[in-house]
Amino acid sequence: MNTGQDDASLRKAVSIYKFFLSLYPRKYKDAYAEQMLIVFKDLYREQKEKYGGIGVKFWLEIIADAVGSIFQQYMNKLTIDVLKKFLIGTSIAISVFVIAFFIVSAMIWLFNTFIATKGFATKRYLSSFSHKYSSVIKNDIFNDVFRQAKKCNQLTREEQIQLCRSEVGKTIGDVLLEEELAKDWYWPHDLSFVKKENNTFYKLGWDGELKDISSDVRQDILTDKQSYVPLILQRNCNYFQIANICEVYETLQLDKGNKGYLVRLYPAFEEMEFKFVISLPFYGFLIFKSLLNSQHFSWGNFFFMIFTFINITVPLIIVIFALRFYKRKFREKPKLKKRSR
Amino acid sequence: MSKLKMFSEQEAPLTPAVFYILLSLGIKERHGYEIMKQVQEDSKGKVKLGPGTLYGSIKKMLDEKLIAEVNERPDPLMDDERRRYYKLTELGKKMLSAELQRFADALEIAKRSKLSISFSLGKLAYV
Repeated sequence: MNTGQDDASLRKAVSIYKFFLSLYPRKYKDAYAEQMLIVFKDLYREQKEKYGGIGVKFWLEIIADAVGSIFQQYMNKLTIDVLKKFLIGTSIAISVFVIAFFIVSAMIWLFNTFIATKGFATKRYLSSFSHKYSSVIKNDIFNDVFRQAKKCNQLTREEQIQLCRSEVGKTIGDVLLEEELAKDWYWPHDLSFVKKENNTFYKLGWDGELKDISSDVRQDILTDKQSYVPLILQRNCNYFQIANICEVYETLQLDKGNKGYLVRLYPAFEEMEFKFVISLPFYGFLIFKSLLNSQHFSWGNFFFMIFTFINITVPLIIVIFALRFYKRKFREKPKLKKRSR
Repeated sequence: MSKLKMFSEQEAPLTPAVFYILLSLGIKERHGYEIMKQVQEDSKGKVKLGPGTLYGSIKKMLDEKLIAEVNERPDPLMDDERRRYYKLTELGKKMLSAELQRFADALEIAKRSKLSISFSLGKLAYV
Protein backbone atom coordinates (compact mmCIF):
# COMPACT_ATOMS: atom_id res chain seq x y z
CA MET A 1 0.00 0.00 0.00
CA ASN A 2 1.39 3.42 -0.91
CA THR A 3 1.58 6.11 1.64
CA GLY A 4 1.49 9.79 0.72
CA GLN A 5 5.25 9.94 1.25
CA ASP A 6 5.78 7.04 -1.12
CA ASP A 7 3.65 8.72 -3.74
CA ALA A 8 5.66 11.92 -3.44
CA SER A 9 8.96 10.08 -3.78
CA LEU A 10 7.62 8.12 -6.76
CA ARG A 11 6.45 11.36 -8.40
CA LYS A 12 9.90 12.83 -7.87
CA ALA A 13 11.58 9.74 -9.30
CA VAL A 14 9.19 9.74 -12.24
CA SER A 15 9.91 13.39 -12.98
CA ILE A 16 13.64 12.65 -12.96
CA TYR A 17 13.15 9.69 -15.26
CA LYS A 18 10.88 11.76 -17.51
CA PHE A 19 13.76 14.14 -17.94
CA PHE A 20 15.86 11.32 -19.34
CA LEU A 21 12.97 10.19 -21.52
CA SER A 22 12.74 13.67 -22.94
CA LEU A 23 16.29 13.27 -24.24
CA TYR A 24 15.42 10.39 -26.56
CA PRO A 25 14.82 11.00 -30.27
CA ARG A 26 11.25 12.17 -30.85
CA LYS A 27 10.04 9.14 -32.81
CA TYR A 28 11.44 6.73 -30.29
CA LYS A 29 10.02 8.77 -27.42
CA ASP A 30 6.55 8.78 -28.99
CA ALA A 31 6.63 5.03 -29.43
CA TYR A 32 8.21 3.80 -26.20
CA ALA A 33 8.42 6.51 -23.54
CA GLU A 34 5.13 5.54 -21.94
CA GLN A 35 6.09 1.88 -21.76
CA MET A 36 9.49 2.73 -20.37
CA LEU A 37 7.93 4.87 -17.70
CA ILE A 38 5.62 2.02 -16.69
CA VAL A 39 8.60 -0.32 -16.42
CA PHE A 40 10.51 2.28 -14.46
CA LYS A 41 7.64 2.61 -12.00
CA ASP A 42 7.49 -1.16 -11.63
CA LEU A 43 11.21 -1.28 -10.98
CA TYR A 44 10.97 1.55 -8.51
CA ARG A 45 8.16 -0.10 -6.57
CA GLU A 46 9.94 -3.43 -6.58
CA GLN A 47 13.09 -1.84 -5.29
CA LYS A 48 11.19 -0.05 -2.59
CA GLU A 49 9.35 -3.18 -1.51
CA LYS A 50 12.47 -5.30 -1.57
CA TYR A 51 14.88 -2.98 0.18
CA GLY A 52 12.57 -0.53 1.87
CA GLY A 53 14.08 2.38 -0.01
CA ILE A 54 15.86 3.55 -3.16
CA GLY A 55 19.61 3.40 -3.12
CA VAL A 56 22.27 5.11 -5.14
CA LYS A 57 22.94 1.85 -6.97
CA PHE A 58 19.41 1.87 -8.37
CA TRP A 59 19.80 5.37 -9.74
CA LEU A 60 23.25 4.67 -11.10
CA GLU A 61 21.92 1.68 -12.98
CA ILE A 62 18.93 3.61 -14.30
CA ILE A 63 21.04 6.58 -15.40
CA ALA A 64 23.69 4.36 -17.02
CA ASP A 65 20.96 2.46 -18.82
CA ALA A 66 19.22 5.64 -19.98
CA VAL A 67 22.38 7.39 -21.13
CA GLY A 68 23.61 4.32 -23.02
CA SER A 69 20.22 3.79 -24.59
CA ILE A 70 19.82 7.45 -25.57
CA PHE A 71 23.22 7.38 -27.20
CA GLN A 72 22.35 4.13 -28.98
CA GLN A 73 19.08 5.50 -30.31
CA TYR A 74 20.71 8.66 -31.58
CA MET A 75 23.38 6.58 -33.25
CA ASN A 76 20.70 4.47 -34.94
CA LYS A 77 18.78 7.56 -35.95
CA LEU A 78 21.93 9.24 -37.18
CA THR A 79 22.97 6.25 -39.24
CA ILE A 80 19.56 5.82 -40.88
CA ASP A 81 18.78 9.52 -41.26
CA VAL A 82 22.20 10.53 -42.45
CA LEU A 83 22.29 7.72 -44.96
CA LYS A 84 18.77 8.51 -46.12
CA LYS A 85 19.45 12.21 -46.28
CA PHE A 86 22.75 11.63 -47.99
CA LEU A 87 21.15 9.47 -50.67
CA ILE A 88 18.18 11.80 -51.18
CA GLY A 89 20.39 14.89 -50.98
CA THR A 90 22.86 13.47 -53.46
CA SER A 91 20.10 12.51 -55.90
CA ILE A 92 18.55 15.98 -55.65
CA ALA A 93 21.93 17.67 -55.96
CA ILE A 94 22.83 15.63 -59.04
CA SER A 95 19.43 16.28 -60.61
CA VAL A 96 19.63 20.01 -59.88
CA PHE A 97 23.14 20.12 -61.20
CA VAL A 98 22.25 18.29 -64.41
CA ILE A 99 19.19 20.45 -65.03
CA ALA A 100 21.05 23.61 -64.14
CA PHE A 101 23.97 22.54 -66.24
CA PHE A 102 21.77 22.10 -69.29
CA ILE A 103 19.94 25.36 -68.72
CA VAL A 104 23.15 27.24 -68.04
CA SER A 105 24.78 25.72 -71.09
CA ALA A 106 21.91 26.81 -73.25
CA MET A 107 21.91 30.26 -71.69
CA ILE A 108 25.63 30.72 -72.09
CA TRP A 109 25.31 29.75 -75.68
CA LEU A 110 22.42 32.06 -76.42
CA PHE A 111 23.69 34.92 -74.30
CA ASN A 112 27.20 34.86 -75.66
CA THR A 113 26.05 34.50 -79.20
CA PHE A 114 23.87 37.49 -78.64
CA ILE A 115 26.77 39.49 -77.24
CA ALA A 116 29.09 38.25 -79.95
CA THR A 117 26.71 39.26 -82.64
CA LYS A 118 25.76 42.57 -81.14
CA GLY A 119 28.69 44.40 -82.59
CA PHE A 120 28.59 42.66 -85.92
CA ALA A 121 25.00 42.34 -86.94
CA THR A 122 21.97 44.48 -87.23
CA LYS A 123 19.07 43.59 -85.03
CA ARG A 124 16.97 42.03 -87.71
CA TYR A 125 19.55 39.32 -88.20
CA LEU A 126 20.01 38.39 -84.58
CA SER A 127 17.38 35.73 -84.41
CA SER A 128 18.86 33.77 -87.21
CA PHE A 129 22.42 34.51 -86.34
CA SER A 130 23.17 31.60 -84.04
CA HIS A 131 22.36 29.09 -86.64
CA LYS A 132 23.99 31.01 -89.42
CA TYR A 133 27.05 31.57 -87.30
CA SER A 134 27.65 27.87 -86.94
CA SER A 135 26.75 26.97 -90.46
CA VAL A 136 28.94 29.73 -91.80
CA ILE A 137 31.86 28.23 -90.00
CA LYS A 138 30.92 24.71 -90.84
CA ASN A 139 30.70 25.33 -94.52
CA ASP A 140 33.63 26.17 -96.68
CA ILE A 141 32.66 29.79 -96.77
CA PHE A 142 35.96 30.52 -95.10
CA ASN A 143 37.63 29.61 -98.31
CA ASP A 144 35.87 32.51 -99.94
CA VAL A 145 36.72 34.76 -97.06
CA PHE A 146 40.35 34.07 -97.50
CA ARG A 147 40.30 34.17 -101.23
CA GLN A 148 38.84 37.61 -101.16
CA ALA A 149 40.99 38.93 -98.41
CA LYS A 150 43.90 41.16 -99.39
CA LYS A 151 46.55 39.67 -97.15
CA CYS A 152 48.47 36.51 -97.76
CA ASN A 153 49.19 34.30 -94.85
CA GLN A 154 52.58 33.11 -95.95
CA LEU A 155 53.76 34.55 -92.71
CA THR A 156 55.51 33.41 -89.60
CA ARG A 157 53.61 33.11 -86.37
CA GLU A 158 54.89 36.48 -85.17
CA GLU A 159 53.91 38.08 -88.43
CA GLN A 160 50.46 36.56 -88.12
CA ILE A 161 50.05 38.02 -84.68
CA GLN A 162 51.32 41.33 -85.93
CA LEU A 163 48.80 41.14 -88.73
CA CYS A 164 46.06 40.33 -86.27
CA ARG A 165 46.92 43.42 -84.32
CA SER A 166 46.49 45.60 -87.32
CA GLU A 167 43.39 43.87 -88.61
CA VAL A 168 41.35 43.43 -85.48
CA GLY A 169 37.94 44.98 -85.73
CA LYS A 170 37.99 45.69 -89.40
CA THR A 171 35.11 44.61 -91.48
CA ILE A 172 35.25 41.95 -94.07
CA GLY A 173 31.97 43.32 -95.24
CA ASP A 174 30.08 41.25 -97.68
CA VAL A 175 32.74 38.63 -98.19
CA LEU A 176 30.55 36.30 -96.20
CA LEU A 177 28.46 36.61 -99.27
CA GLU A 178 26.19 33.97 -100.65
CA GLU A 179 24.13 34.43 -97.55
CA GLU A 180 21.94 37.39 -98.16
CA LEU A 181 21.69 37.96 -94.44
CA ALA A 182 25.38 38.17 -93.98
CA LYS A 183 25.90 41.18 -96.15
CA ASP A 184 25.88 43.69 -93.35
CA TRP A 185 27.81 41.66 -90.87
CA TYR A 186 31.10 42.68 -89.47
CA TRP A 187 32.69 39.34 -89.25
CA PRO A 188 35.38 38.61 -86.68
CA HIS A 189 38.71 38.36 -88.39
CA ASP A 190 39.88 34.96 -89.42
CA LEU A 191 43.45 35.01 -90.42
CA SER A 192 44.23 31.51 -91.40
CA PHE A 193 42.51 28.31 -92.15
CA VAL A 194 44.05 24.90 -91.86
CA LYS A 195 42.97 21.78 -93.63
CA LYS A 196 43.95 18.29 -92.61
CA GLU A 197 44.52 15.56 -95.14
CA ASN A 198 46.17 12.25 -94.28
CA ASN A 199 47.73 13.64 -91.14
CA THR A 200 49.19 16.53 -93.06
CA PHE A 201 48.08 20.03 -92.28
CA TYR A 202 47.76 22.63 -94.96
CA LYS A 203 47.25 26.28 -94.43
CA LEU A 204 44.94 27.90 -96.90
CA GLY A 205 46.53 30.97 -98.35
CA TRP A 206 44.82 34.15 -99.42
CA ASP A 207 45.41 33.09 -102.99
CA GLY A 208 43.64 29.79 -102.35
CA GLU A 209 46.84 27.72 -102.36
CA LEU A 210 47.52 25.17 -99.66
CA LYS A 211 50.81 25.18 -97.80
CA ASP A 212 52.07 22.24 -95.75
CA ILE A 213 52.44 23.46 -92.19
CA SER A 214 52.56 20.10 -90.41
CA SER A 215 55.89 20.85 -88.82
CA ASP A 216 54.43 24.02 -87.35
CA VAL A 217 51.28 22.48 -85.92
CA ARG A 218 51.01 21.33 -82.40
CA GLN A 219 51.03 17.60 -81.82
CA ASP A 220 47.62 17.54 -80.15
CA ILE A 221 46.12 19.11 -83.21
CA LEU A 222 47.89 16.67 -85.50
CA THR A 223 46.39 13.70 -83.74
CA ASP A 224 42.94 15.17 -83.83
CA LYS A 225 40.32 14.03 -86.25
CA GLN A 226 39.07 17.47 -87.10
CA SER A 227 39.41 18.53 -90.68
CA TYR A 228 39.97 22.17 -90.00
CA VAL A 229 41.92 24.15 -87.49
CA PRO A 230 41.23 27.78 -88.13
CA LEU A 231 43.02 30.54 -86.39
CA ILE A 232 40.33 32.97 -85.44
CA LEU A 233 40.95 36.40 -84.12
CA GLN A 234 38.14 38.29 -82.59
CA ARG A 235 37.58 41.59 -80.97
CA ASN A 236 35.01 42.20 -78.27
CA CYS A 237 34.54 38.51 -77.68
CA ASN A 238 35.44 36.74 -74.50
CA TYR A 239 36.58 33.22 -74.17
CA PHE A 240 33.07 31.84 -73.78
CA GLN A 241 31.91 33.39 -76.97
CA ILE A 242 34.72 31.71 -78.79
CA ALA A 243 34.13 28.51 -76.90
CA ASN A 244 30.55 28.56 -78.09
CA ILE A 245 31.65 27.58 -81.52
CA CYS A 246 35.14 26.26 -81.20
CA GLU A 247 37.39 24.46 -78.84
CA VAL A 248 40.17 26.84 -77.99
CA TYR A 249 43.69 25.49 -78.14
CA GLU A 250 45.58 28.63 -77.49
CA THR A 251 44.89 32.20 -76.56
CA LEU A 252 47.02 34.88 -78.16
CA GLN A 253 47.44 38.05 -76.18
CA LEU A 254 47.35 41.05 -78.47
CA ASP A 255 47.56 44.76 -77.99
CA LYS A 256 44.88 46.83 -76.34
CA GLY A 257 43.33 43.86 -74.60
CA ASN A 258 42.50 42.10 -77.81
CA LYS A 259 42.89 38.38 -78.01
CA GLY A 260 43.31 35.83 -80.72
CA TYR A 261 42.35 32.22 -80.36
CA LEU A 262 43.76 29.16 -82.01
CA VAL A 263 40.76 26.92 -82.29
CA ARG A 264 39.17 23.95 -83.91
CA LEU A 265 35.52 23.32 -84.61
CA TYR A 266 33.50 21.12 -82.37
CA PRO A 267 32.44 17.83 -83.88
CA ALA A 268 28.93 18.94 -82.99
CA PHE A 269 28.97 21.36 -85.85
CA GLU A 270 29.78 18.59 -88.21
CA GLU A 271 26.96 16.40 -87.04
CA MET A 272 24.28 18.49 -85.53
CA GLU A 273 23.66 21.38 -87.78
CA PHE A 274 19.93 20.93 -87.85
CA LYS A 275 19.59 19.76 -84.31
CA PHE A 276 20.62 23.03 -82.87
CA VAL A 277 18.29 23.16 -79.90
CA ILE A 278 18.72 19.53 -78.96
CA SER A 279 22.45 19.81 -79.05
CA LEU A 280 22.65 22.82 -76.74
CA PRO A 281 23.62 20.79 -73.69
CA PHE A 282 26.30 19.16 -75.74
CA TYR A 283 27.78 22.52 -76.57
CA GLY A 284 27.56 23.37 -72.91
CA PHE A 285 29.49 20.26 -72.04
CA LEU A 286 32.17 21.14 -74.56
CA ILE A 287 32.40 24.65 -73.20
CA PHE A 288 32.94 23.40 -69.67
CA LYS A 289 35.38 20.79 -70.89
CA SER A 290 37.24 23.41 -72.77
CA LEU A 291 37.47 25.56 -69.68
CA LEU A 292 39.31 22.79 -67.89
CA ASN A 293 42.19 23.28 -70.26
CA SER A 294 44.48 25.29 -68.06
CA GLN A 295 46.08 27.00 -70.98
CA HIS A 296 43.28 29.48 -71.40
CA PHE A 297 41.92 29.31 -67.93
CA SER A 298 41.39 32.68 -66.37
CA TRP A 299 39.74 33.68 -63.14
CA GLY A 300 37.57 36.12 -65.04
CA ASN A 301 36.11 33.32 -67.13
CA PHE A 302 35.85 31.07 -64.14
CA PHE A 303 33.88 33.61 -62.11
CA PHE A 304 31.76 34.40 -65.12
CA MET A 305 30.81 30.74 -65.32
CA ILE A 306 30.23 30.43 -61.55
CA PHE A 307 28.16 33.61 -61.54
CA THR A 308 25.99 32.36 -64.38
CA PHE A 309 25.68 28.99 -62.73
CA ILE A 310 24.64 30.50 -59.40
CA ASN A 311 22.11 32.70 -61.15
CA ILE A 312 20.43 29.58 -62.42
CA THR A 313 20.88 27.15 -59.56
CA VAL A 314 19.92 29.43 -56.69
CA PRO A 315 16.40 30.11 -58.01
CA LEU A 316 16.05 26.39 -58.72
CA ILE A 317 17.07 25.49 -55.18
CA ILE A 318 14.71 28.13 -53.78
CA VAL A 319 11.87 26.66 -55.83
CA ILE A 320 12.68 23.15 -54.60
CA PHE A 321 12.74 24.26 -50.97
CA ALA A 322 9.56 26.26 -51.42
CA LEU A 323 7.84 23.18 -52.81
CA ARG A 324 9.11 21.05 -49.96
CA PHE A 325 7.97 23.63 -47.42
CA TYR A 326 4.59 23.81 -49.10
CA LYS A 327 4.23 20.04 -49.07
CA ARG A 328 5.25 19.78 -45.43
CA LYS A 329 2.96 22.52 -44.29
CA PHE A 330 -0.16 21.65 -46.21
CA ARG A 331 -0.03 17.94 -46.63
CA GLU A 332 -2.57 15.95 -44.72
CA LYS A 333 -1.39 14.93 -41.29
CA PRO A 334 -1.37 11.16 -40.80
CA LYS A 335 -4.06 9.89 -38.51
CA LEU A 336 -2.86 8.37 -35.27
CA LYS A 337 -3.13 4.66 -35.26
CA LYS A 338 -5.38 3.48 -32.45
CA ARG A 339 -4.24 0.47 -30.61
CA SER A 340 -6.89 -2.14 -30.05
CA ARG A 341 -7.12 -3.22 -26.49
CA MET B 1 14.36 -5.14 -43.49
CA SER B 2 16.34 -6.40 -46.41
CA LYS B 3 16.64 -10.09 -47.16
CA LEU B 4 20.37 -9.73 -47.04
CA LYS B 5 20.28 -8.38 -43.53
CA MET B 6 17.83 -11.05 -42.50
CA PHE B 7 20.09 -13.72 -43.88
CA SER B 8 23.20 -12.34 -42.26
CA GLU B 9 21.49 -12.08 -38.91
CA GLN B 10 20.15 -15.57 -39.14
CA GLU B 11 23.68 -16.73 -39.66
CA ALA B 12 25.14 -14.67 -36.85
CA PRO B 13 24.66 -15.47 -33.16
CA LEU B 14 22.09 -13.32 -31.41
CA THR B 15 23.10 -10.78 -28.80
CA PRO B 16 22.47 -11.96 -25.23
CA ALA B 17 19.66 -9.43 -24.74
CA VAL B 18 17.86 -10.44 -27.92
CA PHE B 19 18.35 -14.13 -27.21
CA TYR B 20 16.96 -13.94 -23.70
CA ILE B 21 14.04 -11.78 -24.78
CA LEU B 22 13.18 -14.32 -27.47
CA LEU B 23 13.54 -17.05 -24.91
CA SER B 24 11.25 -15.32 -22.46
CA LEU B 25 8.62 -14.75 -25.14
CA GLY B 26 8.96 -18.35 -26.28
CA ILE B 27 7.07 -19.40 -23.20
CA LYS B 28 4.24 -16.90 -23.33
CA GLU B 29 3.28 -13.37 -24.30
CA ARG B 30 4.68 -10.81 -21.91
CA HIS B 31 4.87 -7.10 -21.28
CA GLY B 32 8.07 -5.15 -20.79
CA TYR B 33 8.52 -5.54 -17.06
CA GLU B 34 7.72 -9.25 -17.23
CA ILE B 35 10.28 -9.72 -19.98
CA MET B 36 12.84 -7.87 -17.91
CA LYS B 37 12.26 -10.10 -14.89
CA GLN B 38 12.21 -13.28 -16.95
CA VAL B 39 15.45 -12.38 -18.68
CA GLN B 40 17.10 -11.72 -15.35
CA GLU B 41 15.84 -15.03 -14.03
CA ASP B 42 16.73 -17.08 -17.10
CA SER B 43 20.22 -15.64 -17.27
CA LYS B 44 20.67 -16.10 -13.54
CA GLY B 45 21.17 -12.38 -13.15
CA LYS B 46 23.92 -12.18 -15.76
CA VAL B 47 21.81 -10.24 -18.22
CA LYS B 48 20.16 -7.32 -16.53
CA LEU B 49 18.09 -5.07 -18.74
CA GLY B 50 17.16 -1.53 -17.79
CA PRO B 51 14.08 0.09 -19.38
CA GLY B 52 16.24 1.79 -22.01
CA THR B 53 18.11 -1.34 -23.05
CA LEU B 54 14.94 -3.38 -22.96
CA TYR B 55 12.92 -1.13 -25.23
CA GLY B 56 15.91 -0.51 -27.46
CA SER B 57 16.07 -4.26 -28.03
CA ILE B 58 12.29 -4.51 -28.38
CA LYS B 59 12.29 -1.77 -30.99
CA LYS B 60 15.04 -3.50 -32.91
CA MET B 61 13.24 -6.82 -32.74
CA LEU B 62 9.96 -5.25 -33.82
CA ASP B 63 11.72 -3.64 -36.74
CA GLU B 64 13.23 -6.96 -37.69
CA LYS B 65 9.86 -8.66 -37.22
CA LEU B 66 11.19 -11.12 -34.66
CA ILE B 67 8.45 -10.15 -32.25
CA ALA B 68 5.09 -8.45 -32.63
CA GLU B 69 2.80 -6.51 -30.40
CA VAL B 70 -0.17 -8.45 -29.13
CA ASN B 71 -3.54 -6.93 -29.88
CA GLU B 72 -5.53 -9.05 -27.47
CA ARG B 73 -4.43 -8.68 -23.88
CA PRO B 74 -3.82 -11.97 -22.08
CA ASP B 75 -5.65 -10.88 -18.98
CA PRO B 76 -7.28 -7.46 -19.36
CA LEU B 77 -8.79 -7.38 -15.90
CA MET B 78 -5.57 -8.10 -14.10
CA ASP B 79 -3.33 -5.52 -15.63
CA ASP B 80 -2.62 -1.90 -16.45
CA GLU B 81 -4.34 -1.36 -19.77
CA ARG B 82 -1.53 0.83 -21.03
CA ARG B 83 0.90 -2.04 -20.98
CA ARG B 84 1.85 -3.50 -24.30
CA TYR B 85 2.36 -7.22 -24.68
CA TYR B 86 4.69 -8.84 -27.09
CA LYS B 87 4.82 -12.26 -28.71
CA LEU B 88 7.19 -14.16 -30.95
CA THR B 89 6.57 -14.10 -34.67
CA GLU B 90 7.21 -17.07 -36.91
CA LEU B 91 10.54 -15.57 -37.83
CA GLY B 92 11.32 -15.04 -34.14
CA LYS B 93 10.48 -18.65 -33.41
CA LYS B 94 12.73 -19.83 -36.23
CA MET B 95 15.50 -17.58 -35.03
CA LEU B 96 15.21 -18.79 -31.46
CA SER B 97 15.09 -22.38 -32.57
CA ALA B 98 18.15 -21.86 -34.79
CA GLU B 99 20.02 -20.28 -31.89
CA LEU B 100 19.09 -23.10 -29.52
CA GLN B 101 20.20 -25.56 -32.15
CA ARG B 102 23.46 -23.71 -32.40
CA PHE B 103 23.97 -24.07 -28.65
CA ALA B 104 23.03 -27.74 -28.83
CA ASP B 105 25.49 -28.32 -31.65
CA ALA B 106 28.22 -26.47 -29.81
CA LEU B 107 27.54 -28.53 -26.71
CA GLU B 108 27.66 -31.72 -28.76
CA ILE B 109 31.00 -30.71 -30.24
CA ALA B 110 32.31 -29.85 -26.80
CA LYS B 111 31.25 -33.25 -25.51
CA ARG B 112 32.83 -35.06 -28.45
CA SER B 113 36.03 -33.12 -27.97
CA LYS B 114 35.98 -33.91 -24.29
CA LEU B 115 35.73 -30.28 -23.39
CA SER B 116 34.07 -29.38 -20.17
CA ILE B 117 33.32 -26.09 -18.63
CA SER B 118 35.50 -25.10 -15.78
CA PHE B 119 33.03 -23.26 -13.64
CA SER B 120 35.63 -22.08 -11.22
CA LEU B 121 37.53 -20.22 -13.90
CA GLY B 122 34.57 -19.51 -16.13
CA LYS B 123 36.62 -20.69 -19.09
CA LEU B 124 36.69 -23.71 -21.34
CA ALA B 125 39.34 -26.23 -20.42
CA TYR B 126 40.47 -29.70 -21.47
CA VAL B 127 39.95 -32.49 -18.99
